[in-house]
Amino acid sequence: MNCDEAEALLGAYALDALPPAEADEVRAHLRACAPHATASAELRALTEQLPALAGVSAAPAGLRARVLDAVAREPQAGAPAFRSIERKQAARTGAGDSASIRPRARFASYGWAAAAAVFVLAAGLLVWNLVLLTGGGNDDAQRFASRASLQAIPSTAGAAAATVVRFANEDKAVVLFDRPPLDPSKVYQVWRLNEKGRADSLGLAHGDASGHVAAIIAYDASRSAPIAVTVEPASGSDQPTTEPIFRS
Amino acid sequence: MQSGDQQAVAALYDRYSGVAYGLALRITSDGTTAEDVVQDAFVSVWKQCGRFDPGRGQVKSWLLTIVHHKSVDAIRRKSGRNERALPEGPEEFIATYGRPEEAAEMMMDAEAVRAAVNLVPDDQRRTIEMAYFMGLTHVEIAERMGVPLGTVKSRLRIGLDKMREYLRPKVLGSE
Repeated sequence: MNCDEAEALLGAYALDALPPAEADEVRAHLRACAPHATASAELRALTEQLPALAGVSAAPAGLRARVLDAVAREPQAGAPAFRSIERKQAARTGAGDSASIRPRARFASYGWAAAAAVFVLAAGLLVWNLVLLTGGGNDDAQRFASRASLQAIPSTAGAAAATVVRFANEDKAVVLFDRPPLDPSKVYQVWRLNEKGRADSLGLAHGDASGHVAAIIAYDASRSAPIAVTVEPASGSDQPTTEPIFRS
Repeated sequence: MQSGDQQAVAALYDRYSGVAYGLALRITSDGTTAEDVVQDAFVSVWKQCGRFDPGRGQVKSWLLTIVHHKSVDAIRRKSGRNERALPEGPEEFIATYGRPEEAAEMMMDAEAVRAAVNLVPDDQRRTIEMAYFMGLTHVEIAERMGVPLGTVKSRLRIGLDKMREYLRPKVLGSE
């Protein structure tokens, strides 16, 4: 397979849309052609973003037990394993050997958010750079820090805590609410309170089983109107219908 | 995990089962099959984790790659279609970029991916989705769309290039 033929197939190859024989030919070409190997790796990395389009669905109850039961019955192959991954992650974050992937699971996908909440308590309005928080040793955190900053939002009403995550060059931000654990079965609506005493909806917030609620909101750095979050019907409301669990 | 630490699997499940199940469900359109796929994927990760190189990518990406492949396998078996190449092992898994772990970044990235896909012309986007979510080969896509094979190849490549162009500064990071 020459470069022109490989070039035409790289998209299909990255999407695993080639029959085995043709995929083997591309693979052989990539071993001998560095530019196309690089291009292929970039396209493959891009396809790894596509699961985001599928969204998140709560796995059925009972599947967790089935998975763990199946794992318990299966012998492992190979040598180094998650222990080494855990050690590397612990080394990256500066944690000791006792650190592992396990403690992070308590926070499900919001592991860092809970950590942020700790900083919320300590830091008030300060904007924190994640590089400082992580000691600069975590590649992902460094990349994250290059894009994002955390800002605690002080509360004037309600029991929840809020943290806004602003991303460089984005007109949207993520607001996270937690503490105490919020009810994942409820729908939360985020509001910006305008000067006329009315509330403009910023969207519905969805929670997870660990009690964290996150919402993407439009972010305007030039405005500093207070925000609030209330429990609302699944379809949302025109105006808040319940007392805010958080108000800045 | 190698030393019998199944709690690591439990942690991985708690962290990524939602996105894994969501992907499997999207591809298979069947809850039972999606459950089987997710279970098989976690078992595969457990069995093969000794071959996983953390320096080449994150566990999440590896897991979702396996979920994708097993989902495609499942629907192809059901439909009786011929095999297509599905590299599964970690050595086949190419990850050149770090992966975001944080929930907020995941949310922003998901939205960025959706926005990027929406910017891709409809025929290219549909072609990409037929390959990724329906598990079709380029030949099968050409047959279903009634277009020449060369058109499908171009749509896949150009469509991905357009997505990359839009996503690079937002998700993939500038180079």
